[in-house]
Amino acid sequence: MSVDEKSYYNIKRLHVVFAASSLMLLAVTVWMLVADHRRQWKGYQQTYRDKVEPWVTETRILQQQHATEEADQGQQETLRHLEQTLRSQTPGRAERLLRMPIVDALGRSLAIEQIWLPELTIDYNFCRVPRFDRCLTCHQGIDRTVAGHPSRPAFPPQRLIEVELLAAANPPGGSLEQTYGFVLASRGVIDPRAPTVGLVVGETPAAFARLAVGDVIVKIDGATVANAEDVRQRLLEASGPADGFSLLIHRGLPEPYCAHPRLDLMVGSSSPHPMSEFGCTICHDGQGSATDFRWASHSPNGAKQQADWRGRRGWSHNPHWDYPMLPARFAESRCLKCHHEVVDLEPSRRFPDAAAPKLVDGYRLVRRSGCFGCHAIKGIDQTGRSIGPDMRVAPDDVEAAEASRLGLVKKVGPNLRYAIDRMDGAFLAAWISNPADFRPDTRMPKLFGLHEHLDKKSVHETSRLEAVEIRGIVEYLLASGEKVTPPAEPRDVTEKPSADRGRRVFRTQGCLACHQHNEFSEVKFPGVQSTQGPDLSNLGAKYTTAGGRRWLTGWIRDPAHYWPKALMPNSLLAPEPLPEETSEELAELDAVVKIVDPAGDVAAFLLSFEGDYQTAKLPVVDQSSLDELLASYPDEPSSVAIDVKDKLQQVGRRAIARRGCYGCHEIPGFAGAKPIGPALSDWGRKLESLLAFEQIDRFVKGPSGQGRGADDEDRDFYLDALLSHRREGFVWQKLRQPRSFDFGTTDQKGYHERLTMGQFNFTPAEREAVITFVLGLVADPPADKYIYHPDKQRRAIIEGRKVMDKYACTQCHMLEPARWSFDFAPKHFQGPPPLETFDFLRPHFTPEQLAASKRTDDRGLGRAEVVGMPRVDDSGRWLQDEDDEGNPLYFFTLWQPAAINGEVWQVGGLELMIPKSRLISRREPVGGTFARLLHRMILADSQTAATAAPPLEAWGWVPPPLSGEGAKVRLAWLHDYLLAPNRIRPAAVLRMPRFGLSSDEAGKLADYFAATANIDFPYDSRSRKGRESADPNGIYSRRPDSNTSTRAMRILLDRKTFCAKCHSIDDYEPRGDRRTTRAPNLAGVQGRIRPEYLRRWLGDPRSILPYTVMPVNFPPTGPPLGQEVFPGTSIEQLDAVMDLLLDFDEYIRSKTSAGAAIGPTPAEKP
Amino acid sequence: MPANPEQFVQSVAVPLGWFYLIVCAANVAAVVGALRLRRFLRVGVWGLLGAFFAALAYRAFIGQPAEMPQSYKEAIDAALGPVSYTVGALAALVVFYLGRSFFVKTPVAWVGLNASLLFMGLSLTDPQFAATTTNPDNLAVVAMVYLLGFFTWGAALQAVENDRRLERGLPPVEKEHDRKVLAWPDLVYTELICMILLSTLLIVWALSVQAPLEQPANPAVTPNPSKAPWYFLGLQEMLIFSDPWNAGVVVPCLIVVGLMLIPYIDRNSEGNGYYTIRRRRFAYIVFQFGFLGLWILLILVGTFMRGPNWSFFGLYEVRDAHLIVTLPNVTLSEYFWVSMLGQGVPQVPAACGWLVQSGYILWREIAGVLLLAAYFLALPPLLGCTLLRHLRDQMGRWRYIVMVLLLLMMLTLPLKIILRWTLGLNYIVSMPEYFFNF
Repeated sequence: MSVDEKSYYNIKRLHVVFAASSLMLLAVTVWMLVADHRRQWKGYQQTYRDKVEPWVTETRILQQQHATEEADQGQQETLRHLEQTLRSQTPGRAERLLRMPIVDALGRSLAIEQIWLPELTIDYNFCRVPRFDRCLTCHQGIDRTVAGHPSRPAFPPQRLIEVELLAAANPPGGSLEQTYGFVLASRGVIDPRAPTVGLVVGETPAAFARLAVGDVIVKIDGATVANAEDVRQRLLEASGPADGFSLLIHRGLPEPYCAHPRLDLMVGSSSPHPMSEFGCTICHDGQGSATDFRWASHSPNGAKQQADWRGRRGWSHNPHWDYPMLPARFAESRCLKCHHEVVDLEPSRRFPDAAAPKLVDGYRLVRRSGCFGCHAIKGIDQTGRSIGPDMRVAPDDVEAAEASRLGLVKKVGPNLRYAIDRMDGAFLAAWISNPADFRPDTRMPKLFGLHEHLDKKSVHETSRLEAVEIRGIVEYLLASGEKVTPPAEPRDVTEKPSADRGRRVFRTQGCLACHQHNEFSEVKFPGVQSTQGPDLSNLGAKYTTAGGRRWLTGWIRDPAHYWPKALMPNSLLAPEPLPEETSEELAELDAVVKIVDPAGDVAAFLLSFEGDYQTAKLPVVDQSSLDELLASYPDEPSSVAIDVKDKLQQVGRRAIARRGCYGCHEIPGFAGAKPIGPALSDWGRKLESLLAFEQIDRFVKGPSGQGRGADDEDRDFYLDALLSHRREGFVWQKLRQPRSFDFGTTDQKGYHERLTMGQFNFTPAEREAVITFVLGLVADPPADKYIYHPDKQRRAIIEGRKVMDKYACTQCHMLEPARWSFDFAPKHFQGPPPLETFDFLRPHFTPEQLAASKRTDDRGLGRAEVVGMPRVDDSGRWLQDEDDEGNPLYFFTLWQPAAINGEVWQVGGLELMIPKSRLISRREPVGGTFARLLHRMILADSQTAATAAPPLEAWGWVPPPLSGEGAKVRLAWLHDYLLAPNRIRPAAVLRMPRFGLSSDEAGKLADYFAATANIDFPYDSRSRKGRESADPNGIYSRRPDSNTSTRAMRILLDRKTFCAKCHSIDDYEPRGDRRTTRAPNLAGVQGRIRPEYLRRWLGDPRSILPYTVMPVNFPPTGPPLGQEVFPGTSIEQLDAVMDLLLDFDEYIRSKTSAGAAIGPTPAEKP
Repeated sequence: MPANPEQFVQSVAVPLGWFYLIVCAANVAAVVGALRLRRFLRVGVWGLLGAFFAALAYRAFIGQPAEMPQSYKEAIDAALGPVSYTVGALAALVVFYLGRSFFVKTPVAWVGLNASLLFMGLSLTDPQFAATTTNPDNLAVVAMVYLLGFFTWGAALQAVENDRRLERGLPPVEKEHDRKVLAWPDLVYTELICMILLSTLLIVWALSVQAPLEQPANPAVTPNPSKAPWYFLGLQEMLIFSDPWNAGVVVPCLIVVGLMLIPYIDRNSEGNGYYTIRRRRFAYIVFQFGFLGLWILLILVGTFMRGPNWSFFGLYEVRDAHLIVTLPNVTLSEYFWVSMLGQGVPQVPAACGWLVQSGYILWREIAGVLLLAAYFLALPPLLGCTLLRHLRDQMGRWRYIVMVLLLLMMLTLPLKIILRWTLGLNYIVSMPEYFFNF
C-alpha cells in the first residue's frame, strides 16, 4: 500500500455527495412510508368515518331535539343515547394517534373490510375459488338507510334536482325554521361550508317543497350560494318573487359514500339480495380483492367519466383481470346469471318498479328479431344444468315440438311452406333485396346490398352475384312451396266486400292492437310488445295477384287454416247482417237481409292501399354470373345439362343455406338445419382475443365508418370500446354495420367465405338493450342456492307471462290498474263517506295496516298508495281540474280498496281528488293499451252518433281488465274458454278472438290468474275433478230448498226491475239496445263464476267493477226491494238468488221432465 | 390493447410536455457549457435546439403535441422489416466502427441523442409505440438502449483519443496520470455512494411503477405472445432460427464456454488498463459484433418487434393477433434437389434396416452435410492461410482452431437469420428422423 495518504477524490466533496445521496435515500424512504400509509381506500374510509357518520348522528340529534320540545322521558333517553354515539364517532386523541403512520400497525381503526363468500366462487379455470369482496372498504355507506326505513337510502347517489319553495310570510327577524320550516346543519356532510339541510319540520313550505335532510342548496333562483349565511340572506332578507323560490339542490352524496340504488331490491338487508350473502362482484364483476380504484377494474360509463376517473382516481385500463366490472349502462345484464327466465324481472306486486327494464327489453328484442335463429341461445349445458335464458328454436313439426319439449321459442318469420302462392316473384325479389323499401320498420334484416365496406371492384362483383342469389331464392321458394286451398267462403253473403266497412272492422276488431297501418298513424303503442304483427300499410302493392288476394282473405278468416302455429288469432269474423238492417221491425217484416263478410271487408280495406311503392320487375338472370356462382360452390359440380330454372333453384338453395333464412322462416328442405351463426349462450364471457376485429380500426376511421347512428350520443363510448377491442364494441359494430369486419379482407376471402349477418333495424336505445342482454349470457351460474327458483306461485305467474308475451294478451287486457302514490297532510285530508254495506263486502285491513296508513314521515306528511284509474279526457290525457285555490288536481277512481289516513276507502265510492303537487309517483297500468284506445274510439264515435255513450259504462264494452280474474272465474271454465271463446257480454264491441293456444298454454294462463289472485293451490285447472274452490263459508255445498229456489227464480225472471230486464237466461233474450241493456246469460254462471265472487258481485257490483251498469238489487240498508216477488230481507234474497244461479242446471232439471214431455211409454205389446 | 387514438394523444400530451421541457433544459445546460468553452457556433445550435424543444413542449401542453406523420411511420415500419433490420443494424455497426472518430465527437453524439429523443417524443403519440415502450416490463430495455449507447460512446471516445495519442507516440491518457488509488476512501466510499443512489433509484422506480394486482395464472389462456424475461429475449429469438437443442442448449453452453476461454485465447497484452480499439481491433470487433449485434439487437427485436403469435411487427404496427403471416420454411435439401436439380427429394423407404435408412437420409441431406463440413472443416485452415494468417501465427495452431471454431459457430446465427429472412431457408441439414436439424 502506498504511504501516500492523499486520496484520488476530493474527500470533502465525497462527504457532500454522500450526505446528499443519504438524504435522498431518507427522503424516498419517507415517501415509501407515506405512500403506504396514504393508500387510496384509507382516504375514503376516513372521510366516511369522520364526516359522514357523525353528520348523520348530528342531524338525528337535531331532529330529536326538535321533537323533544314537547316530548317525554323516552325521547330524552334517545337523545342522550344519540349524543353518546356522536361522541364515540368523533375521533379522539387516542384514535388520531392510532392512525399515525407506523403506529397504525398496532391497532387499526381504519381497516380493509371484506365479505367472505365461500359458495360464490370465481372460475379460475379448473378451479373454483371462493370470492371475497373488499368493495366495502371504500363503499362504506353502500347499505346505509334512514333510521327506521329498511330500504330508504341515507344518501342516494348524488344528483341535481330543482324544487319550488313557496314564499312564506316572513316574521321580522324570523329564522329559516320559523319562516320556511327547515334548519341548516352546522356543517355540510363532506364540504363543511356547503349549506346543507339538517332538519325539515312537517307541514311547512319546506316540507311541501319536499326538501329532505342532507340536501345541499346550490342555487337559489339561478344564483349560486356559497354558504349557510348566503342562504339565510337570500331567503329571509332579499325579497324574492312573490310566489316563491326555485332552489337547485344537490341530493345525496358522490361515490363512494352514497348508498346503492334500489336498496329494496339489492344490497339492503331485507332485500332479496342482501350484501352479506351476495357480495358485490357476483353482479358487478371486477376484482373484489382489490382495494385500489384501478385494480378493482372499475369500468367507466363513457368518455366523460373515463376522463374524470383518470384525473381524480388514477384510473387506467386494467388488463390483469378477466372479469372487468360492467359499465353502469350494462349493470342489468348480470341479472341473467341467476334469473334465467328473464320475465321474472318484470314488475311484480312485491317490486312494482321494474328491476331490469333494459335487460327485459333486450330479451324481448332478441325474441322479436329472432336472433336465436342463427345464434343458438341454449339455456342448458351438456349436463342439463340451467345456465341462462333458454331460447332454443322449436322444431318445425308441431308434434315433434310437443313430444321432445326441446324447442321453446317459435321462429319469428312467416311460414314459407304453405303461404307461397300469395307472393309474386317480382315482389318477393324486391322484398328480399331490401325489406325496408316496402316496410320501413320491418323486423326482417337487410341481407343484400350491404356494400359499405367493399372497394369498388368488389361492389360490382358482389352486386352481380347477389342479384343472381336473390333470383335463385325466389325461384327456390316458389318451386318448393306447397299450395293450400283457402278456407271455404261463407255461403250466404250477399254484399260485395267494401273497403269502407273493412276500415271500421279493422279499427274496432283489435287489429290495431298488434298491427300498424298508415291510416291510423296516430296509433303507436310504446314498448317492444306493440309490434307483435307487421305494419299493414300498402298491402295492395304486395298482393297483386288474385291468388295473393284470396290468400289474404283466407288468412284473415282463419290463420290456423294455413299454419296451426300461427300467432295471429282467429278473430271469429262471421258473416253478419248489415247494421242498419238489424232493427227488429225489419226482421219481422221478413225483408231481404243484406249479409256482409267482415273478413272480406278487411281484406278489401287492406288491399285498397298501394302507397307509392313500386315493385321492380323480376331481375333478368345474368347467365355468366349464374354459371360463375354455380362453379364456385366447392362440393357441387355444376352440370351443363340442367336448364336455367334448375340452376337458379340450386343457387337459391345454397343461398338460403348460407344466409340462414331458415333461422326465421319455415322453408321446405331445411328441416333440422343447424344455425349458421356462432352460439351466444356464453358470448358475454367470450375471450376478447378470440373476436375477429380484423381491420375495423381502419374502417371506422374511413368515410363509411360513420354510417348509421353517427349522431348516436353514446357513439363515443362504443367507438372507444370498439377501438379498444372490447366485447361491447364488437357487438355494437356488429349490430350497426354487420359486415364491416370484412373491410379490407375481401381480396383474400372468396364470395362464399364472407360475413353474412344481416343489418337489423334497431334504434340506438334498442341496440343497447340487445347488447345488455347478450353481455349477460355468460353461462356461469353461481351455486344453486343463488339461482332464482321461484316458488309455485311465482312459477305459475312467470309461465303465464310467457304465454301472454307470446300472444300479446296485454295489448288488449289490462293486468294491473294504475298505481299512484301521493302524500297528504293528515289534518286537512278529507275522509271517505261512511260505508253502508253488507259485512262480507267490507274491505279487510288489519289494525297494523290501518296504523301504518296513519304514520307520518319526518315532515309530518302521510303517504298513501292507491290502485285504480285516473279520469281521462277524450284524447287519453288525465283530466285535470283545479281546487278552490287554483291548484291542479286529478280525479282517481279506486279499483282496489285502500287504507288512507287510518280510514278505509271502498271501491265504487267517491272519486279521490289528488292535487298534482302531492303526487309522488304514478305507475302506468300494465297492459290494456288497446282497450283504452278502443274506449276512446267508442266515445269519439258515439259523439257523432245520435246517442252519446256514457264514458264510464263504455269501459264495459272493451276488453275487460283481468286483475283479479282468478278470483272471479273457475279455472276449468277459463281453460276451456281460452281454447274456444264464446260471446259472454253481448255489449262488447270486440269479441275475444280464438288463439292457437295449446291446452297446456291455456292451462298456464289459467294458472297465472289463479296465482295472481292468490287463490287456492294447486291451480290444477286441467283436472276436471271436483269444484276446485275450497269453500270456507260452505256457500257452495249449500242446497237451497225448492221453495226458496222458486221464489228466487221469480226474481230472475222479473222483467221490470230484476235480472231478466237485462240478462239473457238460457234461451230467453231481453229486448232493447244491445249495448246498454243486454247482459251475460245467467244460465252459464254456474260453471263460470266462483261462488265467493258471485256473492260479492250480487251484493255490490260497483265495489268490484266501478264502471258496471249493474244496479244494486239487494240494498244493504233501507227497505228491501221486490217484496211482491220474494218477500224477505235483502240478504235472504241475495243468498237465494246466488244459490239458484249456482244450482241453475239442477233446478231446471227438477222442473222439466223428459219423461213428462215425451209422454207415457206405450205398454209393451205382449 | 390499442386505445382510441385521439383520446390517447390527449392523455399523453402533458407528460410529453414535461419530457420536451427536460430535453429543452438539457440543451440550455449545453448552451451554458458551450458558453464557458466559448464555442459560439455550438451555443447557437444548442440554443436553436433548445428553442425547438421548448416549442414542442408548448404545443404538447396546449394539448396538440406534434405527432409523427403517418407516412413516416409507415416508412419506418417498412424499413424495420426483418431483413432490413438485421442487415441494416449490422451495416450500421460497421459504419459506426469505420467512422468512429467522427461519431465520438461530443457535438455529433449530442445531436444524435437529441434526434433519438425527438424520435421518442414524436413516436410516443402513437398508441402502439407507446404501449410497447412504456410497458412497465419494457422500461428496463428502453433504459438499456440509452445506457448502452452512452457507455459504448464513452468507451469509444476514450479509445479513439488513446489511439490518436499512441499514433503520435504519446502514452494513453490512463497511463499519463498513472497512480495508485486507495481502497478507502476512493473505492469503497464511492461504491457505498453508488449503492445508496441505486437503492434510491430502485425505491423511486418501485413507487412510481407499481406492480399490478393480477389474477392467478389461467392455464386456459396463456399470454400471446409468451415472452421470456427481457434479458433472455435474445435466446428466445434464437429459437426461431434453430432447433431447441441447438439454440437452447448448445449455443448458450458455447457462449459460456467461449467467455470462459477468452483469457486463454486472447493473450494480447495491448490495451491493458486503457481503452484502445486500433491495438485490439479483432477482439473489439468480435466483442461488439457478438454483444451488440447478436445479443442486444435480438433482445430489442424480441422486446419491441415481436407481437402476438411471435410475428414480426413494425414499431407502429398494431399488434393484431389475427394477422396472417406466411412464413415459408424450406430446407436446403429441397432447394438442392427440387430447385437446382429439378427432381424430387429422395424418399426414405419405410421398411428397411436402419443402415439403409441412414444412408438414404444422408443422401437426401448430402448438400447440407457437405456445406457444413466445408464450413467447419475447410474454412478454418483456409482462413488461417489467408485472412487470419497473422492471428494463426500469433496464437499457435490449437488456440487458433478453438478460436476460429467458436467464431464460426457464432457466425452461424447471423448467417441463418439472413438466409431465413431472404430465402426462407429453414435448415441446412434437416434430419427430423434423428431430431437433428441444423
